[in-house]
Amino acid sequence: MPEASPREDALPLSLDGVRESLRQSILLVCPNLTEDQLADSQRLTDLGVSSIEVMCIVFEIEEIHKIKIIDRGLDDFETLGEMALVVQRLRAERDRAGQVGA
Amino acid sequence: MTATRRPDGGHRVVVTGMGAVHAFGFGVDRLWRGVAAGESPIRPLEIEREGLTITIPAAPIEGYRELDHFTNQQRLMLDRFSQYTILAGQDAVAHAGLADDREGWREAAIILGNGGGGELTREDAGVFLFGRRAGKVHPLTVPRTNHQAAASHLAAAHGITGPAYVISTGCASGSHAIGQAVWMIRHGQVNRVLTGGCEANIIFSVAHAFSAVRTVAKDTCRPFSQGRTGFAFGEGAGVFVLESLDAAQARGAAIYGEILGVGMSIDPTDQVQPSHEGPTVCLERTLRDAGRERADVDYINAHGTGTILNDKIESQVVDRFFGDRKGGCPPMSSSKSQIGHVFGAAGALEALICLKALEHQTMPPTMNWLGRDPDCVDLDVVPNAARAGSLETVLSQSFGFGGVNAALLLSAGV
Repeated sequence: MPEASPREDALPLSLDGVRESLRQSILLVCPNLTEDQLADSQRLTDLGVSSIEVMCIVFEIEEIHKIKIIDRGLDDFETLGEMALVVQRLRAERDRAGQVGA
Repeated sequence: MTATRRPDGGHRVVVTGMGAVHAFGFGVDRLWRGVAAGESPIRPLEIEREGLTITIPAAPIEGYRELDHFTNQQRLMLDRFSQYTILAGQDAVAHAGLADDREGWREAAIILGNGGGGELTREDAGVFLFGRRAGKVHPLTVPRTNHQAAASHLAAAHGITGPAYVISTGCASGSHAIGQAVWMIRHGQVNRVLTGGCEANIIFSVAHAFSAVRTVAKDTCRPFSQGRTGFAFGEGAGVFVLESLDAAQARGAAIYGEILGVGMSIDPTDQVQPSHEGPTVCLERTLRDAGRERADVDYINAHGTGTILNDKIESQVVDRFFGDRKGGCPPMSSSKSQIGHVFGAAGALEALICLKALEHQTMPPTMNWLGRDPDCVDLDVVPNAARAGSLETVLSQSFGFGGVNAALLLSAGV
């Protein structure tokens, strides 16, 4: 059953923190993978992750971090490291927007 | 030489493959072992969702693990009801010895019955939209909720290009689907159909929905019994390979039964309260379609939900319909006391049980029976233990919400 994790948008914004969060999202969608397969430079397609699975992973990440990836053409990443950079940047943008709005 | 045509010229329709997923596990043999042994795996089941809980009597498929049967991508694409259908369908196709017959499947049809479709996925969407106020739903919500998802998968697996659709008439869906498949073969539209029913709705929102309409049992399902208070939830799928007798004999297929007659009707009175008229004309049409008499029916597998109204009305209908024949009403039992109410799969799983009953010359029991309910007519409900019987022709009844009724008359075959 695809079910986004509970909201965790208060997660630390450090790159390591984001990476760890992404690993958990990937494992939630793809329980057939293991954590030690998810190195920073690992291409997801080389692990056999399909486009459908990537779509589900992106959904999880968007929900957890309260960011929008898909509608902004940012879902073209291939590795966990690339994904982490995108998420970290969008998290920062979201937080800045929140501060301005406040 | 055996006639392959009916007196009206239509093709005789036989069962050449059977597959099932149910509370006892996998396969038709396991289904029958559980039924014949009087197993009743119904138990109180607590369902949790978003921190809320509800407890209902249910016979879930214990220990089911999606990745044991499907790739991760398939798991993501398929709601549980589709998974069960595909597993039962593959089981039936293998049982028929047709797993590699892509050429033969090309012109076949798929007719499935299902009540609610992707109920779990729909509930997920509700959680996202109204609970978490996420402003979006999972990107696979549409393919997962589609009633026809399993038909697509089975078509791709076997190269099926014939007519394919899903009939959704609640608790009668499985019987309606099988009936439609029979008619398609009988009238020469196709000579092979993959058909049956499925359901997977033991979830928080559906438990509340049926509780609200006061049809869920307080403890367990005890059809036609003292102390009955409603149904217990079940889940699973039952799938048949049906073929024309011509086609089955031409390929030397094993034949597990014949579907002699199909009857359908709708109550002309009320959406939720069953009537006598609808089920009665359904039974009349079933026997007429089969060219059989009331005296020919040796056993009835009842709709038998255990709800206050169904059992009372169903026992009265059967008594009025069969009571004046020599020997009185045939024995009638309810398999829902064992596998729960499997809604869109109920008619299919119960028809499978009927075929196994014919094979083993044994009538399935009505379990959890505590004694006669004075509200029900005093029929032989085969209480609490299966019983040997001389069975040539058996009837499977499905009387659903909305007043939709369907019945199948089956025999052991040619």
